[in-house]
Amino acid sequence: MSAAGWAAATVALYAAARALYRRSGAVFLSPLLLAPAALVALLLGFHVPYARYMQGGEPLGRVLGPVTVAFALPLYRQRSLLRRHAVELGAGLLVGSLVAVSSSLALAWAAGLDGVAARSMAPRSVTTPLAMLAASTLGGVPSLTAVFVIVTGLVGIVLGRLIVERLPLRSPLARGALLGLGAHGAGTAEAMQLGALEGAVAGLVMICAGLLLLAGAPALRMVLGAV
Amino acid sequence: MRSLLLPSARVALQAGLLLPFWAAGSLLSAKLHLPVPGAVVGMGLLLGALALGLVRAEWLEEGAEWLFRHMLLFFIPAAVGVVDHRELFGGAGLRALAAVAASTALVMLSTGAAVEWFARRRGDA
Repeated sequence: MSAAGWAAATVALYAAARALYRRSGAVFLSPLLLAPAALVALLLGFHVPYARYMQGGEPLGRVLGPVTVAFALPLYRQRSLLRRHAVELGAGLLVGSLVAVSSSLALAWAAGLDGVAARSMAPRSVTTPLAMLAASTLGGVPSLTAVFVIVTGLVGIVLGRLIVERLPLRSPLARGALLGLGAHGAGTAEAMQLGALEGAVAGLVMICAGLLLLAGAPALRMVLGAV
Repeated sequence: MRSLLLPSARVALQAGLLLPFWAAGSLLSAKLHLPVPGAVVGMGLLLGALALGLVRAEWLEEGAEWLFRHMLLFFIPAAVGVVDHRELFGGAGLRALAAVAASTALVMLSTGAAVEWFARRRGDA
């Protein structure tokens, strides 16, 4: 199949999964699970290397660039609210980022993963491009980090919905922040379904968490030592 | 129709207005060797342009909403990358999945609790 064919297959599978998901609401039909699973099956079945697929897939992935730029809009719209709540959001950002990196490392170690895999998992809770950058600083494998980031998004949609429904949170800021910090872009998409403020908070926290991790990565690397 | 995949001409044009900011951000990031990806720099540029009134939010609104609505599509190619990590197809993958899930739950609970606690203390929740 040509590069354009793989791009078209990706969009078609996304559209089909989205329609199924919207009709049923079953999490295992999420476009982020069903479409990649079908594509992986196709690649394995027809012995197509990932690099060949990415000739068509990569341009689609690059659209995350404009998506990131577009986050300026909700941030701008909610600027006065965000400024007023800088203390709460800053606290959530610090606590969540510390928990993200330390628990990823500890649990990867507990799960018996090797050092490189653990370092690849450490930045998993931030958005893909920033996580991959941080992974190379930490001595991880960026492509493995990308997989962990996606799995985080997927798991985060499920857990996020559960936590937001069950936890007695009165503040929309808390709901937005936990989704943006816990599950980056996927969580932010979920937060936007809850409301404009939740979505803006999630987007802001997601970007700040990524920048904070990039800033902290060299120090973290010193703590972890050489690979 | 909100669920429509294809954007209208106006929505596509609005989304297209994001491209120059992305391009400028990428150029700045590369030329100045910034440790931040071009898209994030581009977001900063757009934020600045909105604050200065050079760009109005209504010019981009529908394009941005369309992109946000279909954001998951653009993550799919990276997710397919799991095929290059066969080491995750067996038990190690399941253990890694459990680690990711447990860590994600911890992050969400601690972040939600921290923000909620501060919000209630300041009396605005």
